[in-house]
Amino acid sequence: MINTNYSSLIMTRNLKKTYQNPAGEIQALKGINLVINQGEFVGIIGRSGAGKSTLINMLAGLDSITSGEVWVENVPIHAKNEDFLANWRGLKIGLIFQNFNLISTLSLLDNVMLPLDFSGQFNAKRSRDLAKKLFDEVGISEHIFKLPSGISGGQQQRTAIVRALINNPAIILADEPTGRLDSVTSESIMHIFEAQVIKGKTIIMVTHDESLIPRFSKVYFMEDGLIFPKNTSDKKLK
Amino acid sequence: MRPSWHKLFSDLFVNPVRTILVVLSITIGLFAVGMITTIHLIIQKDMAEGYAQIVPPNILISVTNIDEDMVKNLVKLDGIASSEGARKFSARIKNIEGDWVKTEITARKSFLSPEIIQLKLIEGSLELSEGEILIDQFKYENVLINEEHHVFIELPSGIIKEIYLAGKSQDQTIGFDTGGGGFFIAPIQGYILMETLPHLEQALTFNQIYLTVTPENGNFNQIQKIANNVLDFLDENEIGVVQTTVHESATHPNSIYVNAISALLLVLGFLIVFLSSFLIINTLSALMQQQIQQVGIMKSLGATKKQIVSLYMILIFFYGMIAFGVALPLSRISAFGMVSFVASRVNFEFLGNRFLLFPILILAVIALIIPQLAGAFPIQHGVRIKVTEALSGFLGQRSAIFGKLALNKLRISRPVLISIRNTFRNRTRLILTLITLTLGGSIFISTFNVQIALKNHTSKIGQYFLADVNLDFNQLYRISKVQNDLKSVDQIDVVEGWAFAPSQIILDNGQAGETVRLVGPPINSEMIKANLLKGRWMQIGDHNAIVLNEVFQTNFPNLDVGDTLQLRVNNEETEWVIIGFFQLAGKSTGYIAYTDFDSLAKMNKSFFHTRIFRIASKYKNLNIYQQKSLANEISTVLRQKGYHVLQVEAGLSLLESTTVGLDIITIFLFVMALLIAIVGSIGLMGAMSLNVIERTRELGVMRAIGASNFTILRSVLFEGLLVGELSWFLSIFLAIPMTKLLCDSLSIALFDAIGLFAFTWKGILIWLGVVTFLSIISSLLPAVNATRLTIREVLAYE
Ligand SMILES: Nc1ncnc2c1ncn2[C@@H]1O[C@H](COP(=O)(O)OP(=O)(O)OP(=O)(O)O)[C@@H](O)[C@H]1O
Ligand SMILES: [Mg+2]
Repeated sequence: MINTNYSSLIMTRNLKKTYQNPAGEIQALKGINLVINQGEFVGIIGRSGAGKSTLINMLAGLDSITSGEVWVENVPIHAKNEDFLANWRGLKIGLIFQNFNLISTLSLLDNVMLPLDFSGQFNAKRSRDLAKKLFDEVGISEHIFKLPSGISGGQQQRTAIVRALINNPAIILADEPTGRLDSVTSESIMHIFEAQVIKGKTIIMVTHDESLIPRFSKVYFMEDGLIFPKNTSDKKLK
Repeated sequence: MRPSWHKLFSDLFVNPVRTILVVLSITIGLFAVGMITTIHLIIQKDMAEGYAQIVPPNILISVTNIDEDMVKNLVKLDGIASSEGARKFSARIKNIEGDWVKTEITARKSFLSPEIIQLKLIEGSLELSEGEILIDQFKYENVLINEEHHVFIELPSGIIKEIYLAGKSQDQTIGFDTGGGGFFIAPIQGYILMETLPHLEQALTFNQIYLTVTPENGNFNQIQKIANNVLDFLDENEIGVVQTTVHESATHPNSIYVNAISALLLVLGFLIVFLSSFLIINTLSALMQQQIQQVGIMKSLGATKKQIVSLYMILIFFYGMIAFGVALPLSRISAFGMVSFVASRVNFEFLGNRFLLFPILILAVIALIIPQLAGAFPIQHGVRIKVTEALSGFLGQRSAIFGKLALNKLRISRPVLISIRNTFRNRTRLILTLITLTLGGSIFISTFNVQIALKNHTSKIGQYFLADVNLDFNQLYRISKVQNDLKSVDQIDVVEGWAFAPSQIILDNGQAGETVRLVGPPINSEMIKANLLKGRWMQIGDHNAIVLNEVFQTNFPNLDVGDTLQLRVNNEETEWVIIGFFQLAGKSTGYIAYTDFDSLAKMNKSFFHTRIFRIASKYKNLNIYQQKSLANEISTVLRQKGYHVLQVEAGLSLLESTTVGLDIITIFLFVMALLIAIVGSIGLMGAMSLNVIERTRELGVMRAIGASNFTILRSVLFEGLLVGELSWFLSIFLAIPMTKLLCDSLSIALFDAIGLFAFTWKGILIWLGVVTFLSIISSLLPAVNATRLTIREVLAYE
């Protein structure tokens, strides 16, 4: 199988995911075909249970693919083992979750530098400077020695974003990053994302919030395991 | 520092309770193993080496009389390295209660570094002068010492001497010629110079010969052969031999007790390694369970399996090292303490604290390997879980053992239902917890059973000591005269004259071998109820019939009822017909044979006369104080009538001193039971606390939806008790084979035969109490803690 479209960063072909439940099989993804290019800010919108998280997990190599293909930067994700994917994820993907998933026993700074340690890019001085610069950018540099339990949800999510950015990944996958935040805080998170897109990052973000539609460069609707592109009147970021 | 290392240390320190529980469970396992190996390593060694250091005799011969030249001549015999003569005699000494009690006094030329039997000085000086005495440490506390540091000795003639007490010493050879139990029964031991003998109305000749053999003749058979040579030589020179005893240089007279302890240690040690391993596995899997979500996060951030595995392996390594650091010194201190405790009671010398490599190695290996092995499975399991699952934190959702239907129909309240479901939710963990607790419980119960088995055995021995008062004279008295003169003591029911004589087995080659104590109660004596193994007891009409103890069966398996046994009694060869075998206290008692008074008196040529009497009261089951007051009354009456009384003793005190050796094993077992109870308890506490800590969040959710603290505590408590009591129930069954195992190894060490066994509710009930108490404590404490947190804090808890 040869990927001929060299310009596309992420591509899925007839991607399917079936969960085995005590109650029976659940087809969470029923054949997803997706092409995402570098520099896009993609929004995925859909009702609860539509399969949005499942799709993100597939793109990040967090869970096994039932059938179909996922290509990221010409790497066949569907054909790689878990350890390869772990390394690859550390270098190429920044993940952001709705519930932040910070390690509660580590300070914000340590939380953020942890991925560098796993990817082997850790260098005490340089990593620290990099982390501080990123904390500065998201505006929480005064809290970096606190534990996650000592800061607000929005601050935790900003920490998670810094953590996602620390390895300078090409792609950021965010699963409802604003789902637990109020509108003002959500807005600040969106600003951070937009700034990253300008820097050339590709962001795929899942959300319930239809009011965010105008902010994306490309929007997909998901329903019942299928995905539909939506024409966003070709709004381009300035 | 690298962030992953930070994570490691924060795992160690951020949740101190959890860290302490994990480290404690590893530590306690290591401690138990370390203590047991250390004791096992040094106890037998110290006993053997410390004993060899004092240069014990290999051959001890009691004779009627021998002079110094003759003793010196013995060195010329083949294989003899050195010889020394001594004189040993009995007298009475005043004890702190003001009573006259029996003492044995040994007179020697010097106590300053003699060639044979060196005494260890504990207090005072070994450099005795004429008219001074040393007292052995074992019963030293019983001796009355006045302000001038004098002790009071009553001589056979009735004259009382005040003698200066020069010091306290330890003689490891006490009981050399009477078997292991002999040490405990031995009276207060005194040591004087030969020059002092005339002051105490004793002749200036020897009646004891101490001999050592040359090193190349050190094994038992060789020594025996040399001893026979010596006996022939003495025979040629017409020296009357009373008794001969032969031992190897490293065989302490009480070695049997230490061997028994060692045998128990081996079994217990094995079980405890097993128990500790389960404890560690259990704790670590609980720990990993709590880490699953973090594993998920780390994987999502790009951590490979290898990275995560090594992270946790290093964490466990740290736990192991902390535990090692704590357990090693603690186990050393306790082991040395235990050995010195046993040493002072079993009369050997604890050779002191020392560096021991083996326990360090074994602890290091266990500290490194067991936790890693124990951790390997839960870590692998945790790492293998899909990232998405790990992140969601929903795990182990197996179908519960109790289906919804059955329980709902039982109308159990929903919180209780939750407890039951929780208990069985994580089946692997439940099984691990149950195994740990059940093992601990059953070992605990078993040690109690072994204690009871020993106690039963002791009370069986009591059947051989039914007299209320034992009376010894310095000289022979006519039995009927003593019986008559005691008629004035109302309380007395029966007075029996018993005969005792040392004798020697005559071996097939015609030479005299081991010493046999011949005991001759009246043929129809009511003061002994023997526990027969085979054959029958004496009956009226028997002549020269003999009943042998189990030691004969062990060492001469060919002997049987109906055979003839040749014994040398008073230098004469005599023949006896074996009519039965009985069980006494095992190997430690040496060879003992019962015959009837008349048969033995004939050998002793002392018809109708004896020095030893057994007296029974009209009242049954006197306690030791009642017996003592009867003894005093008897003593007063006899003294008034001019008898030369050597000793009047309560019957129970003889039994007590006979069983001291077994009591030490009992104490030892008790300490072990305690240790196991602690291991088991910490296991229980660890497992339960971790279970509850793990559910802190869930408890918070329950509170958030309106559960009262009481409801929560009740449900947690119910869960803890359910597991605790279940393990208790299972441990009762596991205790049966375990008791058998322990009892068998103990009875083989003590009796060379399987025999002990007992099962008692005592241990079971105590363990029930312990388990219940601990279940409550270890589930309530963390639960109370959980209810103290605000709901917000709890929900943020992971
Ligand atoms: N581990 C799983 N096992 C079984 N079924 C699952 C699992 N994860 C998701 N599903 C099912 O797959 C379908 C898609 O779930 P998914 O989590 O992707 O939805 P979603 O669009 O992210 O919903 P939400 O907006 O609520 O987060 C749902 O029907 C869900 O029940
Ligand atoms: Mg979702």
